[in-house]
Amino acid sequence: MDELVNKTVSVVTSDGRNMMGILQGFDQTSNIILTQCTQNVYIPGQRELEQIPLGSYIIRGTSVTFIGEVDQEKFLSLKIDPALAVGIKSINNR
Amino acid sequence: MLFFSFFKTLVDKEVIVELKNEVSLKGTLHSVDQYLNIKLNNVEIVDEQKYPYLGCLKNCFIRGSTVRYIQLPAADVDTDVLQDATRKEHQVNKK
Amino acid sequence: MLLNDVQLARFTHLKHNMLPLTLLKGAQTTQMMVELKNGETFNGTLVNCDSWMNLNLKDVVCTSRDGTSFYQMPECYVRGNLVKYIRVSDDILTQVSEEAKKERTPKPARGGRGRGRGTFGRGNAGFGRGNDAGRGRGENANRGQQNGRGRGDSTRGRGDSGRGRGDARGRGQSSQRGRGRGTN
Repeated sequence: MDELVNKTVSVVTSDGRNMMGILQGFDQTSNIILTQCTQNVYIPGQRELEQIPLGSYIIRGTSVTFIGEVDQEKFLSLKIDPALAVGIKSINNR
Repeated sequence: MLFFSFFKTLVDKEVIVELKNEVSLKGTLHSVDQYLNIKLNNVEIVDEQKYPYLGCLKNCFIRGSTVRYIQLPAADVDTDVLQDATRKEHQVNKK
Repeated sequence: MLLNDVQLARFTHLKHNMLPLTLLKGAQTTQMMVELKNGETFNGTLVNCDSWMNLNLKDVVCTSRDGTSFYQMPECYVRGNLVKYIRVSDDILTQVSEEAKKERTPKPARGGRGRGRGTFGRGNAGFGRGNDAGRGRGENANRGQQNGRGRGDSTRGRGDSGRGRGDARGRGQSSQRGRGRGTN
């Protein structure tokens, strides 16, 4: 995960949320620190992604599903087909 | 440890990781660790129409605990070696 | 969330991996919002925390999952494993990373026993003992095993991987010197 530090990443949490922010740090259990965080909310049927600014977060490893580095250009030219797009499911705490 | 070693042999191969939240990610296996956390390069979301907002990822870190299935390239799995390794592991564990 | 260069520059001095628990420790006495796995949130001031992320909060307002009911309590204890995430103020982050930077700047090497100086963040090779081969003392008893202390992620001595570098020989007990780079 070293390479992702100080990059803009998108984190999907186990409750199905999608947060985007700068990864400041992590530890063995994949607890992570995100700064300049926004939550990307997709409301099914809409054409756009709603972005809610949130600040700095410590996210506990157990609620992290995956973390990906964001390609900013791709993100800017994001196209959503409202007929097909859905939200991410949550994982029932297992 | 068997699975850890096994996945290490699949590094640089293309796999599809299906998560418990039903998102599937396709990419080149970059690394695994002891928790079977997975790092993928050149990620694509399999059902990109469904999750277009995830389509902008370059590489990603997947937490092992959230993985449901991993689809492997059949050609790169040597089942004989795998069986042998399984037996060996079993022997070791019995002691 | 896309940042311009100026915004990014604010954070580029944070070259190091900051440990979540280090940040949390540094955030003591500040206001934070904790969301639990069950969706309840707790707003309060952090009094204390430990390496399992157990939290002690005071002046707490608890909000139910649906956000309709609120409970006020003078203090509460949150078990670490129930935490989903914690929201902290941006200032704390800058503050803690400043402190970490100070901590990282070279200090005159101390003689004596090979106890690695605890630093924030993970091993920068700048100074620090335990990086040179053969520098360490002790029997290297801890090689390759976890030190008994939590996950080693409190502010002192890192070394999650418990793998001091360098072949230690000599006397004394080795106490996890060096910050083994945890493989990730």
